[in-house]
Amino acid sequence: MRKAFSPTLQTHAGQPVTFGSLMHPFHGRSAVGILLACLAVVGCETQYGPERTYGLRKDPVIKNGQKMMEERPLPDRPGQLPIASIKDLTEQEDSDHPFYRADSAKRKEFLVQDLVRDTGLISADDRKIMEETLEKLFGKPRDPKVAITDKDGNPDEKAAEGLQVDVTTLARGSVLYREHCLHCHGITGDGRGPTGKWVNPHPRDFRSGLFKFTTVNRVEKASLKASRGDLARTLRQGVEGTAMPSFNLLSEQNIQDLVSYVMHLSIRGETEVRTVLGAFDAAKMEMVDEDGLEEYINKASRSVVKAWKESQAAANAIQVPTMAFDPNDIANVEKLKESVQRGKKLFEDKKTNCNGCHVNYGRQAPYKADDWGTLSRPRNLTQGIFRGGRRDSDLYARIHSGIVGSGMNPFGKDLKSDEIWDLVNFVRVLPYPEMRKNVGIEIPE
Amino acid sequence: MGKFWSFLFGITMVACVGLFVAAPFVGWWMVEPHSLHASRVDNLFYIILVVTGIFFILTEGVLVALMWAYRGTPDLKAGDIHKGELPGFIRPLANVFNTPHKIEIAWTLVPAAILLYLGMAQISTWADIKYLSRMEKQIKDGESPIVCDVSARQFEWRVRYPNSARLKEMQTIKANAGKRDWEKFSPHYDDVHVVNEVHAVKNKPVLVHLSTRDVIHSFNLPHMRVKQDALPGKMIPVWFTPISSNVDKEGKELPGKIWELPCAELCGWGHVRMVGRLYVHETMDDYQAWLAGVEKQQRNGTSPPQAVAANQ
Repeated sequence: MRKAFSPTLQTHAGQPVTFGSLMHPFHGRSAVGILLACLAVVGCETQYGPERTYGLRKDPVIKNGQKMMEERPLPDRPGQLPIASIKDLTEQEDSDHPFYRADSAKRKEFLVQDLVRDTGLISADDRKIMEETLEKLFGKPRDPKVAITDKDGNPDEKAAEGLQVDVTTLARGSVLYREHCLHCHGITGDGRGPTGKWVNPHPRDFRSGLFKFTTVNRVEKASLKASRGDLARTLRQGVEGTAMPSFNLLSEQNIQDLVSYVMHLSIRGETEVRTVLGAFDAAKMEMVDEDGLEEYINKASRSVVKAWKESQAAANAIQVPTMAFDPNDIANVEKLKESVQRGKKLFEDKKTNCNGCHVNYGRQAPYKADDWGTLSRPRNLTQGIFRGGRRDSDLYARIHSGIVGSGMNPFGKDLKSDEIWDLVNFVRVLPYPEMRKNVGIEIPE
Repeated sequence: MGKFWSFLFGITMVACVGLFVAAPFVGWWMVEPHSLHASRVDNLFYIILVVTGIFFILTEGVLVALMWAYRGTPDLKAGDIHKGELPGFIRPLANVFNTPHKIEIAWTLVPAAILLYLGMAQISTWADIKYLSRMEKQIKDGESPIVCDVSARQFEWRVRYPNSARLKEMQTIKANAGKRDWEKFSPHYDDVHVVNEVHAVKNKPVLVHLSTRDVIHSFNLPHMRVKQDALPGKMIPVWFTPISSNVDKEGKELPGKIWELPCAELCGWGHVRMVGRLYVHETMDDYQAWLAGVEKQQRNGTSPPQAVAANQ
């Protein structure tokens, strides 16, 4: 009997060889031959090869994706990735890719304005230092680690304490990641695995260190990443409306291992990104930092790990206050009515300007460029599909701390908690015509 | 080369039959049936298995015997059958082979009769499984089936349930027959949403409104003997009645009682991962307790999301 998601039973070679497959029209010897040939091509390893390294990133680092909007009239089509290389960005003419239909001179401006950084300009010596230092800190895909050093260069075991990124956990996570996530999210977590370019929206690029659906309080501290619970929630529930499925049949242990490995990839990737952005000058990509490249990378890794650690603190989670009434109770229907109507007013108010992005309640929302250089659309709120989860507290967290990287701002400062609850109640009612009528709100058809 | 083919086909036949005989003893057989109509589906399966099995052995046996008898005689033509060295058992048949009319009539009429029989034999079972009117007969007054909306997508099952209040309302369907909400079960503000979990109650019919958001999937509950394709653009009602439960009071699966809901239609790279679970509760109260728990989690204005995320 097949068991779901058990890593021990699902070999990389695919389904186990059954008697039925041997009974295929190919007779006797040729069937065995074909089987062996398949195994030779596919291999039956569950781990990464020992010689495989993460390597340095080849694609340009997008520093400010949201500013590149004007040149992006349309989202990329299936099979296309946004800005795969700097050469594409500056040289390609008359391409099929909507991005490259814009004037190439204009596109070169992105580099001048420092919206995009060309990693290809980094000198061979610097690349070598980067590669070696990153490998020393984060290991290889087969033996991943997070080995942060202190200022004197000694291993600092306290640095990543509490993040659960010890070597054993990460090794297990690496095997699971290779099996479940690799083909979309890629070896380095760049979101560019083989299937990645065929799905819309593209899989998350962990290297930017930005995670959309979190419950960390970004109103207080914008640098926060995501809590382990947030990443685990996304793994369990999937992201509705995208190609990210639910993995809720994986065991608790497997989920936690995967969360740790994703954190490892994100820490590694962001360290690299911060180095590219901080240690070099924009025009020629020459070293500008005085302490030397290796020290800069170490410094960057310390600061990234610190941000992740802070994100785990209970004090940095959004404190969701109790709603003034229980909206589920039929006795409170009048209160719900008032709340939804206040929410509608708020939604259309100048102060929040929700309608500015979610035009016509999101039904006519224009595309916006996000921090990953891709296009995304403010949610159509009349569909009842909420990517970050549909619980009241999920919606509260989205409004309170925004959705990082997408242009959805945090409103936790401008709005009181009761006002956020009003918005939540309004948004929850919006997709259901019957319910809209019950609470006395109307939206144009 | 002469003997190779008869050996190959002979071994294949023996291996196939041997596999079928051995399969139940090594746990390769069908999973245990746990639904009302499961035994009837199984009966049909066994009838077909026996009929096809007998004819498989018969035709394969003749094939192997003739290949053995005529090995090493490549020049022999169809009309030369009497010239060859016929094995003893086949000699009486040789006359029949030379009268094509009779044999053609035989191999047309016999399979036709078998197919007709199979066609007739399954009609009542099919009707009992597929017609919603048969399900309604099982529903007692003042009750309703367990209703859910299963929406398949690559690669998961998204399931929607009526919340406790609506469930209670649905229970009165027979009393006021005009309002049968469960027949349509349109999306509602209060609905409970879960992923990859189908919940049911022992001895109570379950009505699943099956649809898909992308490609063709197939809703397969092997323990219930249910298999129905989900087709884009269509809402297909599927129903079944579990007759035993597989979870305890807390909703945890009993040991060895994991009832899977795999997708049975190759739907993409993640097809193998598209597996849900079926949870059959012992009593309606257990079901309602589970429902209330999920409902509370969904509308949790009271607890911080992080705490909820952690214990989910």
